[in-house]
Amino acid sequence: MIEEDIAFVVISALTIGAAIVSLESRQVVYGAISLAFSFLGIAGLFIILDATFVALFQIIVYIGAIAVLILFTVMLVTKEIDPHAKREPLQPVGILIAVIIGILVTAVAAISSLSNWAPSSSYPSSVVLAIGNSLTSQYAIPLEMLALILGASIVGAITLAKVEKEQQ
Amino acid sequence: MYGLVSKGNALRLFFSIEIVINAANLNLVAFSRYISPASISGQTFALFSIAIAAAEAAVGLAIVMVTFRLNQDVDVFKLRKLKN
Repeated sequence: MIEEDIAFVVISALTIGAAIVSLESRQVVYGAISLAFSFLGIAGLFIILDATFVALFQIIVYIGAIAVLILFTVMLVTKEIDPHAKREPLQPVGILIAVIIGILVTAVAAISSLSNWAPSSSYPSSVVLAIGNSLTSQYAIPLEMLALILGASIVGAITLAKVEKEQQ
Repeated sequence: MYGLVSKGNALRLFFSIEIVINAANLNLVAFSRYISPASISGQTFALFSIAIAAAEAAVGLAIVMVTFRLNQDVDVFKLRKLKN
């Protein structure tokens, strides 16, 4: 399908480009906004993979909650904009690691039989139903533990970030 | 991975962590689509991973805010003084 390939290339370009901008932009706020665009690109890739529920979940949780949280934190944490000299002593190491990982992944993908895979046809017709079934039967215990983890993280984050009143 | 190693601003570090988690989720879903699509266990796992990433984002950002409140700075290279 030509349209699918075009969509894949365009959305991947958006995702990777937004990720690069989010790390390299001069101001952190622009980086936070482009990170949200990167999340949107990943959601698009999920849709290409027929994982519609995961795509919507990603949009709601990542863009709706996490990106907003990041934006608020960025607004609260930026110091004065001073044109300090760009100081990244470990940048060559970072580039080297990225290149090595890229070569490894490409080599594994080329050697294995990845290019001969065809999307299998035994895909459940209603993904949401299948996910709901598995969440309530097979993954019910992880679901409850997830609720506990979320509650604990909320308590922890609030405890960390609350402002102590000065004891006079 | 590049950002995780080379960026000195704590928030950029956080961006790169989120990017890596997203990439792992994408791998999960992609492999589940092609290997065993009948049992959509990869997608379910990706849902849990997204939710846990949200929890970790909340706590991590709270830590960044507290660090800023104490040091007025989020440069991790300068914050190495904490070691002493």
